[in-house]
Amino acid sequence: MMRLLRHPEVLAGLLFIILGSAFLAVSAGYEAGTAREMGPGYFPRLLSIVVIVLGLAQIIHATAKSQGREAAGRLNFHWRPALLVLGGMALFALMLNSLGLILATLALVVAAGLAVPGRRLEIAITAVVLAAFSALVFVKALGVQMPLWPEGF
Amino acid sequence: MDLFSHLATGFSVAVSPINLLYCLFGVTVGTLVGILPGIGPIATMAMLLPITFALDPVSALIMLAGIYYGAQYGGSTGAILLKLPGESSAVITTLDGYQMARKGQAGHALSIAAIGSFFAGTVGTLLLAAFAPLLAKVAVQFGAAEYFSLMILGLVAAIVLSSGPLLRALSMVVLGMLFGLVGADINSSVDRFTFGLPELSGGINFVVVALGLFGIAEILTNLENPEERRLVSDKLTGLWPDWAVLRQAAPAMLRGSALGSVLGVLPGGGVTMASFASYAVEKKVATNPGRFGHGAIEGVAGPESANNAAAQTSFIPLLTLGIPSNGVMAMMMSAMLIHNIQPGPQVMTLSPDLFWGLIASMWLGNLILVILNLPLIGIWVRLLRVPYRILFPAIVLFCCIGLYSVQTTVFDIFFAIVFALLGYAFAKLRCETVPFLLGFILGPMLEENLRRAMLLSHGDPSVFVTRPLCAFMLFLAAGLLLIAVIPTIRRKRREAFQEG
Repeated sequence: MMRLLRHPEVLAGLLFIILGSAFLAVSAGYEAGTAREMGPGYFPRLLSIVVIVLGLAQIIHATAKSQGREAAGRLNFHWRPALLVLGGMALFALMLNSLGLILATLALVVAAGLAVPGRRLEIAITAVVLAAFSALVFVKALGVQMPLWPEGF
Repeated sequence: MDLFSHLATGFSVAVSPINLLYCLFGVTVGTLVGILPGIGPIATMAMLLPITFALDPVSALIMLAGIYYGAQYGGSTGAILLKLPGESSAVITTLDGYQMARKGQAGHALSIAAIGSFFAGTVGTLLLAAFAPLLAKVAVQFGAAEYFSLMILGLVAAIVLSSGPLLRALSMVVLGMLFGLVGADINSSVDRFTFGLPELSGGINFVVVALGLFGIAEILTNLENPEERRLVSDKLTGLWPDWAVLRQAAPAMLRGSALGSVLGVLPGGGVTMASFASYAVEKKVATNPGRFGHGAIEGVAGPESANNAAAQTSFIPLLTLGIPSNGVMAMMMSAMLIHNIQPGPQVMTLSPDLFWGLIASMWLGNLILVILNLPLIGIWVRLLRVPYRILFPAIVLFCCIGLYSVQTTVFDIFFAIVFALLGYAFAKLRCETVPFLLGFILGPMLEENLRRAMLLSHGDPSVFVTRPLCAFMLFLAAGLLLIAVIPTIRRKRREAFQEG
């Protein structure tokens, strides 16, 4: 059973069933209408059911050929780089409006840079260069509307 | 002949200084992302899409198209010199291109790749100009039922021809459609799946999905593997090939261009399949197949021509039928929609400047690319030395700035994080994200046409079988699906993608 749960096709099937059910549950709140005059709920319900059925089919398919070609247990997620990169993006988004592009860029680049081992100085230099570059190119040259520095500067 | 007057119109648009500038910018950026592994044309186009909002639609599309075919040129450089293909379409080029480089023939390989690409680009552009009007004439007569059937056929073909597991690809298309439906329903203006968030009532932004699923998720996958890069040689000689090499490569270029042009039009086909198929063909027709894998020039000339021809002709379904055949075309489609241009047969008649200008610019772009890629190759090679650990924070940053500038809100950045996580999980589960993207962009149109067709038929679903064109297209779609699940053909399909 545990072995099965590490099978990519089973997991994919589960993911589709979960997402399909979520969409189905929400679209149950919309009027379905008739085949002639479809309401906002008709097509989403149809699609959600298709996704759920396809998800089930994948689980059955994977269980049927238990010695599947896809080796189970190769699903090692690398959490450290993922968390650092995505966390860096979240930091950037949180800081941008109040603290400005420069500081947000420094935070993002340092956080993302920590995802690969070593070379702390190199990350710092990259962060400063990129902060200057994005301020000059995106804000000054291309005119993207965003604050450069913290409010009150 | 009409063709020439059309092309004349096109060139008059394309050679305007501003459009030439954007074409040059597009192909330069394209070459760059083609060379650099870890970032593809879809993510790049999504990143630059926000800055095209202020541009004239023609300039915007010329630039975005340039990124796409520019990446086909650039992809070969890394493949030949480093055995590191910047794009999936250049994967097959590593086989013989890298071997040639190891034998000191890197210059020959690079120049043949560039010349073949240029030749194929010219052929592809001419075919696009010649056949697009014919197809568009057929397509104007399409009603809602035909459009619905055509989209189904396009999506099914895209799945069957893609390389991943079939059931998963199918689920991804439908899931993509569901995500595409998020936002206010056009008919009833009911907000669907928005959870009361006003940011979502206009729908999930295409840039958010593309950058999350492709840009960021790709970076997360790349960070798992420590990089290794070895440049074969610093000195490049023989960049101007002698006649003997050119004569040897010419037939392969011709075959590659023909094959690529055909495969580019097919939904889901596109550049990668074209290059793989061309390699297989070259190996088949060669008098001495044993040379392949050990530096056969045909193994570079064929696939590199094929992928570029396909890059040009894959515009045909989008510009004439309004159906994107691959992820990049979905990107182009969203760019057109943002500029209030509904892709389809009416583009040619309503905005001939845009249509012919874009086509003419592609040929000019190909010409610029030869110049960019041959004499300036040294600059690009130097770029290959920039380590990924410096490159990827920059890519993440540019993605974030791009995401913010779509609607000047940080909301989209958070939303892209969600899609990046989803994309990372999809990659782990071997679920292809291109079908998701196609479903995402076609979902709302599919619903719209289904509704209209059913309303017109008074709720009778038999329209889809009684109208001959509908019946034909749906029959074809069903047939394709059936063929794909039959075991023997499934094995063949797997082999075709594992060639090399």
